Amino acid sequence: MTPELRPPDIALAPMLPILIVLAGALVATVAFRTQRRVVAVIAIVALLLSGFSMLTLWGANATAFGGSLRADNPALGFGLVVIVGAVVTLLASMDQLPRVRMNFPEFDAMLLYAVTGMLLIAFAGDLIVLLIGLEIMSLAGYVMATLYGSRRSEESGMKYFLLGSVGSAILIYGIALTFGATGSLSLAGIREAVSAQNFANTPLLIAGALMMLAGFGFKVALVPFHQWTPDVYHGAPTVVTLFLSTVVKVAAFAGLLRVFGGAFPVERAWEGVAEVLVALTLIVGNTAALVQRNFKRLLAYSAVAHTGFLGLALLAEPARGGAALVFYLLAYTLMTAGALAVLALIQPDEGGVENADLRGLYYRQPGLALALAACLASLAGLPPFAGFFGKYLVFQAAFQAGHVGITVLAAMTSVVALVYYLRPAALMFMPAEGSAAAVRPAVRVGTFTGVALGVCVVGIVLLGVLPGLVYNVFDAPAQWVLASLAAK
Amino acid sequence: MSAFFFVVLAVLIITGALVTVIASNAVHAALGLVATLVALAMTYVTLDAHFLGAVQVIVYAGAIMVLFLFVIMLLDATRPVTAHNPVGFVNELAALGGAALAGALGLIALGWRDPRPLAEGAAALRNGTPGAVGETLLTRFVLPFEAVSVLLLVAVVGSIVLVKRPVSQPSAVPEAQPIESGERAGA
Amino acid sequence: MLLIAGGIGVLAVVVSMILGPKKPSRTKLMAYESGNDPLPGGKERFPVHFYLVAMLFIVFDIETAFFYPIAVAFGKLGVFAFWETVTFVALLLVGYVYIVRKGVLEWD
Repeated sequence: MTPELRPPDIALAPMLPILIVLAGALVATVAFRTQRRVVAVIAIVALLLSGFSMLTLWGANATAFGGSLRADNPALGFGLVVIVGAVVTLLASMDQLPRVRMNFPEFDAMLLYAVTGMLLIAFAGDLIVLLIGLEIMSLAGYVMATLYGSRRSEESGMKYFLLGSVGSAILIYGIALTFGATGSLSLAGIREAVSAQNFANTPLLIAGALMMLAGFGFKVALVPFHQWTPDVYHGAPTVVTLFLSTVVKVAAFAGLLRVFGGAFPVERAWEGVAEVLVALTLIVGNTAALVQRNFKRLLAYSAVAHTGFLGLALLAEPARGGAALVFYLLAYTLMTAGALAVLALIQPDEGGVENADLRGLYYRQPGLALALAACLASLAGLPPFAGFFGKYLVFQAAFQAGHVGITVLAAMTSVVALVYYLRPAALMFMPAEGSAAAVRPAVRVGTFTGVALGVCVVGIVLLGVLPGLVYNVFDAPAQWVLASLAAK
Repeated sequence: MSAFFFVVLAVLIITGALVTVIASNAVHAALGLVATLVALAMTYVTLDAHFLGAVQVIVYAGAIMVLFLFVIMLLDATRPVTAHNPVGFVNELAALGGAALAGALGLIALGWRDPRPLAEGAAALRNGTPGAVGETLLTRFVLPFEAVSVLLLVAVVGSIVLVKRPVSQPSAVPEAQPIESGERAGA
Repeated sequence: MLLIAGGIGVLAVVVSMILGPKKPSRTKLMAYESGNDPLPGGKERFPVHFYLVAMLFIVFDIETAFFYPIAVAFGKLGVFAFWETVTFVALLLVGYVYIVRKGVLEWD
């Protein structure tokens, strides 16, 4: 029996980050009778090892499977942000899950499966791999949103599932049309076909690109496709909200940048539509957040609003916008995770707290109040914090790409954002006499949560003071061009 | 002759799809879907993709439709829905959107040129034998193939986690603050 | 040929529908349930267990659909394909271990 067909190039190194996380997930699945804390520590170790293996791949531009998997610098950048978010989620979950009676290793298993899918998205060099990664991530996400045994959590999971599957269906349709137009599924192949002189199927390609934009729009909560966001983020257990609103968004944006920045460099007809969607997202997200009275719901709308700011980076040239996008995603992950981790500690139940109940938090829990204030200030985009530089970079990238109108709109809406972020922040420092909030007992901050909050706060301050630390690493325009992929 | 088959199958597919959307009885809708799926499988066969046709019948028309009918039976969903529709305008909007999409795709199809010669693809299919599919699956698409096993695994574990809710382990850490259990469902 | 074959089938049904005698009675119109009188309604609640088993069936059904083309192409693919397939099965086996240890297949 002599094999007539040669197997594709299987290189273990570029797959290693994914395989480590997958191995962790398998262990967590089988070990469901083990102490959850042990499993969570294993999960954290797996994530850290995976992150470390990504660092060793830095600059190597490794590929495998004939370009289906490419561990180039952008992929590693997104992958590392995913790892940071997932580790913070696990740290915050250590003390939080026993409180909400979700203290079982299945949580870690689902989280690690989701991360496996996300890394597949980030490393994808092929639309099929990207799609399967997205599905793995989404399936695990639906289950996580439903894990808490409350009506509201079940409603949240159901809504997430229904609208998420609609998004996936539209995305698959778009992939099919793109394949029909270009005859290729690999990002490099699509790019080549589109750039060719005699490319004939532009209308079909645009239809496919727009459908893919809509499909991804569901996952990142771009505005006409955002309706699930507030209910899901509000209804899901807070630790899961932390995961869904940060890490899932990072992965979906990685996919967006891969497809729209990498595969469609010439054909930018989708840009006009994307511009309208981003503008709507900025307006709706920020104005809706302005009228929220529940703090958890406010953070949900803030996630929508930040999708708009992140979308600006997508509109820019990939060479410039890519670096801004990674920086903003890292900052966004840290500040949102920090805010939600504090919320998870101070809320009486999983429904979050009313804004008014934050009154006087500083006098009861000065540490938590200061951490939350830092995160909120960063989310609002105030100078000494990471959020400021993130906004600055995406505004600059979009502006230089000629999107002047929308940059001005974004700057105006971020003034609105200032109001709704600083209102709860200011409330925390007001004396609480006479309000019901004064009687809520102070909570003890566990070690793991403390570490998680420390990572977030130190991260946003450090990124705010020395943004070059991260930004300069990614700010090499050449590495954002997908061309270096000897297309096979 | 193939054009004749195509028209017949296309009419079947569209009729089945319309029944699925319009029928108020869930069982009728499911049967309309069966018609669509089977006709689609036959279309694959006329396109020389025999294996794909067989899989379509086994997986979609077989397994997944069984699941559909199962749910209809379990939830007793055969009665038409009579409750007030809070988003009644959606039907008209969806019809408009669907018509616009169909029109656009029709127009696009007129100007479409095959990016790769179809004869090449037909030759690679070798009459749609499973062997051709297997060879591609384990060479060009081996990474997606392995990724699918992870996807299936997540589906298995996820559905079990949802149905047989795991029990929360007691924690050694003292509870920082009691949780108000008023919001939790009975189960 | 196909048309003739199909035509005969259609003809048989149509002719018997038009010409056949019809004497409906209550017993004849009853749902057929192996000769017993049909039980009223189907509205009792079913355990979600049924659904789970159906779901698991589909997952493993899809797995089988993947194996068929691999088996046919195996001669051309060699050892490499064997190990890839083993990986595929091993991953699903983890799911199976979870199913068994979780007691999903125990019917109580």
